[in-house]
Amino acid sequence: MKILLSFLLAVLAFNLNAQKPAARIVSLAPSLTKSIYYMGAAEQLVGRTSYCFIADADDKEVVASAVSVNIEKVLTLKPDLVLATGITNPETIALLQRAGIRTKVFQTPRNFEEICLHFQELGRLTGREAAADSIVAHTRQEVEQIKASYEGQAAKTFFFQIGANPLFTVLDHTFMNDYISFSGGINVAGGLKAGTLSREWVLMKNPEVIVIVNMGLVGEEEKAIWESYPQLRAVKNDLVFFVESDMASTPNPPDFLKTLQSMQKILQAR
Amino acid sequence: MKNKYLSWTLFTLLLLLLFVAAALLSLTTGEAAIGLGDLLPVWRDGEQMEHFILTRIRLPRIVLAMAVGGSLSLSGAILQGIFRNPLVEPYTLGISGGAALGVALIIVTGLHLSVGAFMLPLSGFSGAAIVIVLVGLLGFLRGGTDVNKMLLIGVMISFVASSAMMFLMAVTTSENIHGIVFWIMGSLDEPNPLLIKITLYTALSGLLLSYLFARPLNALLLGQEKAAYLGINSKTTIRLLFLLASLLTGICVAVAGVIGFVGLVIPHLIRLLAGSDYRFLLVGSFLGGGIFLVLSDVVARTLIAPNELPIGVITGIAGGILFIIVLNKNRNRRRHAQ
Repeated sequence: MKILLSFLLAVLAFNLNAQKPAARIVSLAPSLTKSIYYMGAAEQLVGRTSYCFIADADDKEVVASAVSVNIEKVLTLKPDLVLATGITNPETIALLQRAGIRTKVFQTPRNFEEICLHFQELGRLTGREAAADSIVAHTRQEVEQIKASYEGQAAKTFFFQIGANPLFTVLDHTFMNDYISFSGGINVAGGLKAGTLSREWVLMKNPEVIVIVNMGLVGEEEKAIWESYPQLRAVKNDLVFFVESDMASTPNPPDFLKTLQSMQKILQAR
Repeated sequence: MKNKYLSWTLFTLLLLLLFVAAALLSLTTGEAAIGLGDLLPVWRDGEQMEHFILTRIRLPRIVLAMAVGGSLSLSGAILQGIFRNPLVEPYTLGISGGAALGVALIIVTGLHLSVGAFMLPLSGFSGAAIVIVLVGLLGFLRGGTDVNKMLLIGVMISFVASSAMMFLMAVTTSENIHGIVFWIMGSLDEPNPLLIKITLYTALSGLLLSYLFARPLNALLLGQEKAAYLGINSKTTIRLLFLLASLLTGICVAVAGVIGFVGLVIPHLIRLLAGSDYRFLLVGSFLGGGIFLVLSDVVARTLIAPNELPIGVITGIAGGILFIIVLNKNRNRRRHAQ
């Protein structure tokens, strides 16, 4: 009886411990840092990467670059939760787990639905469920409205460019593909396995819309190159435009919505 | 004994014909279906998308392939003559390392995003130029022309440059890493017509200039001392040839990235087929290199269509295999001669 009781107590204690909101969080990815800020959990953040620009104004310790994590620094911060993504080095994660630190890995979301689920999961971990759920609900509503606004129109063919030299596009089963499908479009690169394309191929597909993720001057030059082909339908429609890079490539609900809205403004103005 | 001048002329004509064939193959390969018979009508019709593709994408690639392939092979032939070392190619002297480091620096600091994309070839050339000056100065110190010293310095510079690049890649974003690696792998995709013109004119001038040194190069094959007995001022010859070969290489790397093996394999191939006389080897390597690169480009564009492979991948693998075959044939020949 005693053994059963102590066992039950242990299980209870373990569960309670697991469900306590994290008070000292280290984020190893800029997208996750952004999510934390959006749901109002910034005070709980103690460590970030050098590319988490949203946290620049605050006094947070930098523990990682784009490719490597200073594990010692992470350990000295004594976090109770470390957040990582699919591109974080798995050995780093294994090391942290061996050191007894709770690590949560968020794989890159493959669609808008997963973006929302990850956001809500993060909300539970940080104890900001209410804020996270409300943001997700609001975003879902707005996204549905945007999707509805394209109903009844013929689907347009899109080319969504996310890289130059080499020319790189958005593929199926990535959340960025939803920017196209939610805007009443079809991805010309749908069905392809790799994203490096030849310009010739894109020209022959003759897309009706070309979206370029803004990459400074290189982006401007890409736009100029596309516009030098007057037979391109996108050029005839005057639908070669930019979306802001940071906003479009960060998988969280508010940034996804803002990107979709910026696209809607241009697509529905013409 | 066959008239060697006749056979050289015939061989040159053959290579020119092969080049035209390769160019036609490249012009008719790609996403847009343009057959041999369509070439002329598409050329005339300025409105069609196919016309743009032909004139703005495919033709520049062929011109650039000719210029870069020719320059690199010419440069390789010259350097193999100066250093009397069959393993020497344009990149052995660290020129590609310097160029790659220059480009990596620009990508990491984002200058090409704020100042302009021309910063990339400019920085590539600057990096190459710095290495050329360094190797030249150190090799020609105190009036000497120690070619072995130059080789070693060049190899060391290559190592230092690649370590420096790894340092840069360790501290920058993943997009930048992708950009750097892709640049290094080489690409003939150059939309800037000015750069293509520069590369072409440099290549042709380089070829013409190199003919002033055809006989000195033949003499150098016997070694600097013996060449001196034949009346060749080997010091000046070596310095000028080094400069010519390096500049050709520097421009190629700056415009098209690191396209390896062309400068190493093609001169050897031509030597195997037509002998080591530089009076033919220079133009033979030039044309051979151009043909090789045009064909490699066709493969790079079609192997995993619609995705494109970087051309350095094809030249590296094809060139490497070719080199081993050539080397084996050479060994067999010598054994039979004995």
